[in-house]
Amino acid sequence: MRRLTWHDQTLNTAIHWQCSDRQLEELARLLAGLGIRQADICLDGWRRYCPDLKGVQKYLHLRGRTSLAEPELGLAEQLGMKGVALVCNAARQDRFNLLLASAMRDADRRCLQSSLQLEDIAVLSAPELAAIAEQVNGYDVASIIYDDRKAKGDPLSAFEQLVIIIRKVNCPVEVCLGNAFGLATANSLAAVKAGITHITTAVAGIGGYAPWEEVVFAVRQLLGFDYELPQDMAGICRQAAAVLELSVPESKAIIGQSIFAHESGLHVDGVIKSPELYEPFSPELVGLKRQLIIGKHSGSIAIKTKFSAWGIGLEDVECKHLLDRVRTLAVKKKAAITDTELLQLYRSSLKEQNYART
Amino acid sequence: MQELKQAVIVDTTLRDGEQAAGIAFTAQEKLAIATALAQAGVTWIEAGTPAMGREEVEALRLIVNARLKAIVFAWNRACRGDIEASLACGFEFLHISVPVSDLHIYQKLKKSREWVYQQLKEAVLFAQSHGCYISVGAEDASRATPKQFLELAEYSARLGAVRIRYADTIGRLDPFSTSSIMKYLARYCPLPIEFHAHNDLGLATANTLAAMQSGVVFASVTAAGIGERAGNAALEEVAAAMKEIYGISSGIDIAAAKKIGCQVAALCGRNIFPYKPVIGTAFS
Repeated sequence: MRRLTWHDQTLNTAIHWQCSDRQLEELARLLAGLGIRQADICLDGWRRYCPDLKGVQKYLHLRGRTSLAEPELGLAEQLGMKGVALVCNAARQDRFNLLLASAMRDADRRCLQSSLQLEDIAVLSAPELAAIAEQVNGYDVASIIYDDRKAKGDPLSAFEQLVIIIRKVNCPVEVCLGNAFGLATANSLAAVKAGITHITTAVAGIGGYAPWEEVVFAVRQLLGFDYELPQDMAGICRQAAAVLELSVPESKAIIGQSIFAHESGLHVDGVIKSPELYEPFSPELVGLKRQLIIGKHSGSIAIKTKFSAWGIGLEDVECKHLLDRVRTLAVKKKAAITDTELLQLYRSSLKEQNYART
Repeated sequence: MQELKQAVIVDTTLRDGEQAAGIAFTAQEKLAIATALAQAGVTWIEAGTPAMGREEVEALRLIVNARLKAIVFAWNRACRGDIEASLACGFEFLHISVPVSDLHIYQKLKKSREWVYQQLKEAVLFAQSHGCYISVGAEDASRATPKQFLELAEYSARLGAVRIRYADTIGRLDPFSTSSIMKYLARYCPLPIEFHAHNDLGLATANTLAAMQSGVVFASVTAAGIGERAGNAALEEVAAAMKEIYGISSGIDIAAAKKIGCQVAALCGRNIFPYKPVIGTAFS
């Protein structure tokens, strides 16, 4: 089985936001806990406030991203990096032909490995890709990076393009994909399917990249990668986002706190009978818990299950009456009903029934 | 770039979207969302589930009576009570959902496939006797065989249904499997297919687009992608991707769709993550 390497972008975003040295180190520690060992950082962004990255480097290998036109290789050397990604527009072969050899000589002198990061490559045709591959093969680059940060590609075409590129170039190929239209996970999956092993990701899609947790889960689930998920993956991702003062949305795929919360009658009934009816995987796998929520969409099974857990057996007619009140209250407060509220509704409906009898 | 020629958006923010745990819209909010969707160019709006009771019925009557420039329809199980509730709201187009996978038929309903067909037939005929058009929902289609789905589609077509929904109920498909399944189904299915994605693996938008590239015409979406668990394919993502990646129009005003996404998120009490595609501040 191929091993996958994640090139993190969460840290780069934290640097862009000028997090403190301590925050950056904490983030690096959390990322390492997820099994992420590599991070690419933008050298220009680092230079804006020059945070100390020694703490970070205890956990992560860093590679510097810099423009091929004005490569800041001195910074990469100063930061003790082993490699740089030289960014250049894919459609401008003349540009990298002009600049790459001299940048590589300079990098070599500083003991830096050079990768060539080709922006806007997703819009190129097969012959254009072949022409680029031929040019790139004239240089001894460590890798080329297929860069679709503008998110112009879709999974089916990314797959076809990457198959061509992998076949034509002599060096390893990586991908760096943007999520502007919500396709970065699918495009990363397509890349892995095409044979790519180095993928740029960020926890929860921070920075606009492919969400790490989605890609890792998708390749495991759909391509059968034997990838051991870290314990409490959702919790660690939440902590990593918190370093950047971000909260992971409750419905965020794989790691959101509410993705195993069920409310609708049909779903609660199903999940009680057998979780696999309405759950794509077990919540424990990602460190989450199943929740049964009472609200506007609840059905009688959910209400009866709740009350039987409290030792109260509800008759059908009682349950229907209670359900009406639950729906009214849920719409009024525009949210789920708490256990306390549910018991209050039950008590007041009991009282009403007693009045009705007397 | 692979082609995507056409897609018709079917919005289910007010039905499957609202079904997300903890979300409840008031009648006025439901009307406002439906109105905004119709104004943005959405031509099919799944507005809710009348069988849920008084509040929902009141909200749905408001929406039906607003005479929006869109076909507004209701979700039903295949049972007379549900259909009666929809008729009482004044709906003329009904969606009737039945499970199609063995798992859902035998483990959830604990019934047989014949029983499901019989229920569907009675429900469809009853609704049609009141002059309604019907689309049939194939729940958990991605865990049924293509043969089971096509059988249901043929049965529904014979009953006079006008469309069938293929629901990836637990979001287990990926764009590649979606593409190969949908190419096959679109070729043999006697009814137009509506593809209904879930975002459990983060692939809902990609799967929806892949289905559209494979001959499926109708795309089921929700504003801001709200919905059960990790949600559905997001209206604004599908519409924006169609324009920016494939260069075709979905008939939806994208600026309006983004605004609706933001408003719906606000009505759900959810903050928009800055890196949420299309409507996150990092992208807009």
